[in-house]
Amino acid sequence: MGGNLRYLWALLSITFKSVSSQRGAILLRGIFAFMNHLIYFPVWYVMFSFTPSIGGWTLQHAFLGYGISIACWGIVVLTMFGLRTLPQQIDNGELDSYLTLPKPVLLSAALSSSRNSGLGELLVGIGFITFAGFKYHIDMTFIPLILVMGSIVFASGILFFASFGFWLRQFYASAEEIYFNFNLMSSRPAPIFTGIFKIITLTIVPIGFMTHIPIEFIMTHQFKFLAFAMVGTVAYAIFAIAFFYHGLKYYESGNRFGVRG
Amino acid sequence: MMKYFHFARMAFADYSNNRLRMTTRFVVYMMLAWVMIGMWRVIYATGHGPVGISLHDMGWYNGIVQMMFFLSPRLFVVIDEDVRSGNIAYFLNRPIPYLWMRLSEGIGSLCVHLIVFFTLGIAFLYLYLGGWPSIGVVPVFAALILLIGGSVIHLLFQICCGLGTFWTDDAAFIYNGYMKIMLLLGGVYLPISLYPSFMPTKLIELLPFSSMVGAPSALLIGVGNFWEILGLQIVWGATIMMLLHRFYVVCLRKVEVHGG
Amino acid sequence: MACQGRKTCLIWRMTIAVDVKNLRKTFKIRKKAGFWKTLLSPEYTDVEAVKGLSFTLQRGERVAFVGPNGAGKSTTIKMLSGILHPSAGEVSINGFTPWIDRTKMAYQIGTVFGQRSQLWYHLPAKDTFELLSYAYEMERDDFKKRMVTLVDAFDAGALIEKPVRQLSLGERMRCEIIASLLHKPSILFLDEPTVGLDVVSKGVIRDLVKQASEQDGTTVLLTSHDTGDMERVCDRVIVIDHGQLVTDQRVKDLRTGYIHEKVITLAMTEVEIDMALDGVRLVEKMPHHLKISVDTSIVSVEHILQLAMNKTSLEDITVEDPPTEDIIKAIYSGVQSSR
Repeated sequence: MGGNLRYLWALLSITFKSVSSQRGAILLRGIFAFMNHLIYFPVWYVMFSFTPSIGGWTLQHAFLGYGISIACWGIVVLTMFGLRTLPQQIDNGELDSYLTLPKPVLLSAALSSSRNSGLGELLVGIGFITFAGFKYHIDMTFIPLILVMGSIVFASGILFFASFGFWLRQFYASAEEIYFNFNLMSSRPAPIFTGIFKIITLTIVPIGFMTHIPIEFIMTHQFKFLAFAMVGTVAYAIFAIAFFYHGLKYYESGNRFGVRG
Repeated sequence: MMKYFHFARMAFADYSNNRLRMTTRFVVYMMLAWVMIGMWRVIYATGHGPVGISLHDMGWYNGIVQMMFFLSPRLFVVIDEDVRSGNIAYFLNRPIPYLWMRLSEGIGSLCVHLIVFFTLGIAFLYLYLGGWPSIGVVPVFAALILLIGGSVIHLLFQICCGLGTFWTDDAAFIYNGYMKIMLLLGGVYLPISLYPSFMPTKLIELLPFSSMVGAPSALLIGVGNFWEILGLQIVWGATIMMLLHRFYVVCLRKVEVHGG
Repeated sequence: MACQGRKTCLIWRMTIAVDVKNLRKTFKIRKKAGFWKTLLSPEYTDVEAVKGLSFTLQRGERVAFVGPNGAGKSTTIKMLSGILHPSAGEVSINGFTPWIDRTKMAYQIGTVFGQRSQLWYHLPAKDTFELLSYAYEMERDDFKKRMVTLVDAFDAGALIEKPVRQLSLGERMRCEIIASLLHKPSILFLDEPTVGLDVVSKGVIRDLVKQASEQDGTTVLLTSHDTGDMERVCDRVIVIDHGQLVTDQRVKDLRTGYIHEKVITLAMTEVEIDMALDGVRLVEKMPHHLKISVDTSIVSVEHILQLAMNKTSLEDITVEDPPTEDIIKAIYSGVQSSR
């Protein structure tokens, strides 16, 4: 266990080093990230000037929801961008070298790359949350925990959908569509999702655990929501990891690639 | 000109072979359209729906607006990859400018989506919303025609984003920034005609973003004129093409390819 | 190799690094059909890539694993390194079964896949080395000493400070091999390590691998299309084709087993001489220069030289073995003609 934790730390260090080696564009990317997310301020203002709430979901919910979703996106992009490129890694047989290391394949694959634009997104997300906190006098105590949980849910979601790449070739483009819209929908008002879609947001596309339920907890201070979100986060993470290893077995059968060499 | 047609034809054939990607795209479109229409359902249910526009018509507006984003292929990813890998250099000695080659390929791929979304997408909206918009079926076809023009302009913007990789090493966040601008200035969440008074709606309606997505969809709620929107698309399309060409020439000076 | 007596057998088994018995691998390939048929009721064909392969590698041995495209070389090496699961058969790598004890075995093997990199692209190679030291749980001091030793041996001092993206292919390959040797593996699997390299770089890589293996006693299994890799690095060669063993013998014995030929080059005072004989084939003819290939099963080299000396005054004589490529070609064509 200690060895795996040291390896994880070393992976994170090298990931950050790789990110900061791309110096030329960091400032420009940071500015772009900041500006492009700031546009959500007027978008939501326009929307809520039209209607004071969407099924009880108000402007403060919208800022919190967007802040959490974009901060989680940033954390995952900064630390685990390798999850997003997993379908490509599978297509190119890049998991082979991870399979020869004495460390979990998932760790190596997930932390194999990073994008420094994630830093801008993380900061903007924190900015949105802080703004909402101050403007609407919201208790921010549990925000760090919620961001960690949300990142785990989002990363697990990416892992789950990316793992379809074990069976489906050239799945990268489709997977990107899914992740992008997964994150987009997590900032949409929770009351929109009813019936079967409510179930979907708590299972296959668990945006409920990422934003909706945590926001409910922040607004109402009822710990049952936090507990529910934690259970959901852990359960979905276990499910996604199990699905990945199930796909890895198929990769190891070689049937995906057929006869080579 | 024929060589552009053949590039488009090849891209059409290649794209139509990737049924998985098309299916995923369509499923994601249905989910997003459902989410946006669901949002308006909730708004109308609480009595805050806009006066003079029914939920049914607002559903059509949102369905068509969302469709625009799914018609164009993700061309900026291809260009981003070409620039980052240096592959763009190997296209420079061909007798077809890289820029227009990629645009032709984008149009070829776009045609595949037009077939899928204009048939299945419209069928989905008709069945989900329970009929054509109250203004009739003709504005639907008019909107679809304008969506084609809007999608071509969207491709041009995507090429700009892709070429931005020369400076930023990553086109994705430039594209995301452009999409955010579209959200606000394109009338994606609600029709521009419903924007609050402090927003300069007359100016917004003259910008390219509105003519790409909001204005064509607004025909379904009885707002706008087909020929005016088409004219605006032609003017903006030509302008963006010229600016893009200038930008491309500047970008070429930054081409770097490493040896073996 | 048969055991003679229990004690000999025990000693022999202790010296075996790789033991492969009747290894098989069958792939299920989906048949191409219409979209709906493929989705709802796909059909598969079985393709047997490796058919009952058996061989052993002694500790410290360097063995080339050669075969034409599609022979099953990469598939075999991937099964041995634990990447692929075989369909049948037994494999023991230092006593471990690769697909069961993969994590434990990983500490004892190193791998280099010529067409894939394990180095982080935007960073200097030394950063990847540092990361790998954590992957293999090396002590810090041991890692530093080992890295210095390997970097000196591979003359890579300047290379490891540059971002990998700025390295040429040959430079990158040197760093890849250092990365695979950092944790002092007892077995090294090299899958086409010299692919795409120029002649000079190939020579450098070959010499370094051989030297590193001799110093540390590392067992090497190397797959390659390049017979130079086989000749310069390895003592033994295993040739496979269509997933089956064709031959397994020492490199120096390979020639005599398959080709009974010598190439004789004569520099002479006469402009030309006639050497048309049974068993003699003209290779090259120029004024004062003649190159012939002699089938030694028909006529001896001594006889040819005697004949040449009777006809002219010889200024220089060279007697060579035919190029190894010809030997391998002969092996492949022998297999093909027997099918």
